[in-house]
Amino acid sequence: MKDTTLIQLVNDIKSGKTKAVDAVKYYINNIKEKSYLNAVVEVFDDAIQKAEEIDKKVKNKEPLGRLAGAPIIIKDNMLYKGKKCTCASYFLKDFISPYTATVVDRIIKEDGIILGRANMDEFAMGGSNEKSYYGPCKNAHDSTRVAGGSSGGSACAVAADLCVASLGTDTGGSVRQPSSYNGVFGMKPTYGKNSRYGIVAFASSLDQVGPITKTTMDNALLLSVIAGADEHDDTSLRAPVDNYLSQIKGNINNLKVGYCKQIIEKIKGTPYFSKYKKVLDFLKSQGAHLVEISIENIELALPCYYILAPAEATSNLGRFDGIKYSTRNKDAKNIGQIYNFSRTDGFGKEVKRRIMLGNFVLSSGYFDAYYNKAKALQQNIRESFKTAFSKCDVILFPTTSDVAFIIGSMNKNPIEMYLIDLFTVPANIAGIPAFSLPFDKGENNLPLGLQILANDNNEGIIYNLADFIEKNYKESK
Amino acid sequence: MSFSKKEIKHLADLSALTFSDEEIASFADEFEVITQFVSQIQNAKIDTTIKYEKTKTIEQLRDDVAKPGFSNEEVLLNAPEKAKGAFKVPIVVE
Repeated sequence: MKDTTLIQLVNDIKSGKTKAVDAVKYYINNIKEKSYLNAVVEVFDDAIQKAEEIDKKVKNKEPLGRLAGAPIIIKDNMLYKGKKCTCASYFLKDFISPYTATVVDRIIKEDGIILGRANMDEFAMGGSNEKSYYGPCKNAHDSTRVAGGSSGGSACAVAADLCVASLGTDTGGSVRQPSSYNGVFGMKPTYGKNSRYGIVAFASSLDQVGPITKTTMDNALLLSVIAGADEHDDTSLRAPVDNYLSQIKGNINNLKVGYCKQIIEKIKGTPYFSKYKKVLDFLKSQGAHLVEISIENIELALPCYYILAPAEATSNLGRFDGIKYSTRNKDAKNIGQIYNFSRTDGFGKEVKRRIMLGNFVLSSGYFDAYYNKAKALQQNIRESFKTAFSKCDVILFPTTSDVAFIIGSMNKNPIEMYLIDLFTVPANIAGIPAFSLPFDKGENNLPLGLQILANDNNEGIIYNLADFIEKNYKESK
Repeated sequence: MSFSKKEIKHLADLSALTFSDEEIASFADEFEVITQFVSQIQNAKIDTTIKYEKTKTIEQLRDDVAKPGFSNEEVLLNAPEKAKGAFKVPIVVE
């Protein structure tokens, strides 16, 4: 079972070669053995029972779903009825989900098993998974380093073989960056591709759920299952969902691969650049056409993000008041004190920082200069991407230009930490799909990720290229 | 831009958060750095005639059909304090 892929495991369970119960036990055992990684904050107590139900279905030759018996871990900001969901925050430490998120429900309907919930940065605010009520999640390849964030637990769990696949959420890179740091495959789909119903909101116009897996094909399968319109989320796209696996063709003939001149300027001279260039040369040798493109103002996507995301977060987190749910301060004497004292106790430092920043950019006198300007800039960046995609099918970016950093080494200056999202934030600002795949190794033989971006709803084109690189590039080194 | 303690305290009030004097001083320093960073967008040469796309259209709304919602127990499941099927709060109007 070691390092089995999702597709292989489902096939083995369906054919009776492997029992779903044995798969669940295998991962539970791995979670215990690697508890020092702090990736999984709870294993759900009914996972074995659910696996037994799948094994019974196999035995009785009943129809089986596309994820039959696959143990999948969800980020701790996704609701699963009757189970805890805490967003790695003291504020929600006792919160029990009253209903199930659509994406989780779709996994269950395809006979997948929700094994447990993964560590994360509190309310998904952070890029290292160090800002968690449960303590930091560690990197699967080097436990002195960060797992990345905010979906650090989800990425680490896949890399360390604690589950066969997982779900994360990505607001500014929170699926792709930890995937890059842990050497796994992570997708931030087109905005609206997945329902956000039952996902605790951070910045609603940027948040997307994304699969994290051990291969591109696994990722394509899992996205095919969870994606699609949902009547509970009117931002979910009504367009029919493709079977992404069928779009993996095994060749990249005539694919127009873009490289962005502004990004090249940023990474020129770094060790990453030579590896990046090598991939471009390889793709050219395999039948792709390389196209230079330009994305105006791309370097401003990050400051734009740090206006829009806190503005939305401050509104979304307004609902945490110590009354309807969340932990209430016991000393509060009146309603104002309940709000204030409970929020002061409940939120961690980074969350408070972003609430304050959000209220600043939304306050009168600054609203036009910051929020409105950022919204206009966002639309300009999106238009610039649209123009670029009239010349190419995909664009290659770094996910991060370096390997995972040492735990605690970036805590002095918040901007230093924010800059890690430099290459991932543009896709969220533009609302387009972007995928990170491991393609090379950096310092200490740690994984490095390559990012593939495409136009709206072109996840299939991304998967085809990613699968081609995954299967062919290693041999060419 | 620089921030006075008074300005930070005002933002804290808007945020329904309380900070110690030390934390307020630390926020004032951090905010100076963060606003300097985000203020880069002020110099952006952008086309302001491009309007935000409206992602929602009317056909994306679901049919207006009444369906059962959450039960009283489900709604109160996570209430820190509850009484008689309602959220319990201190007296608001005297």
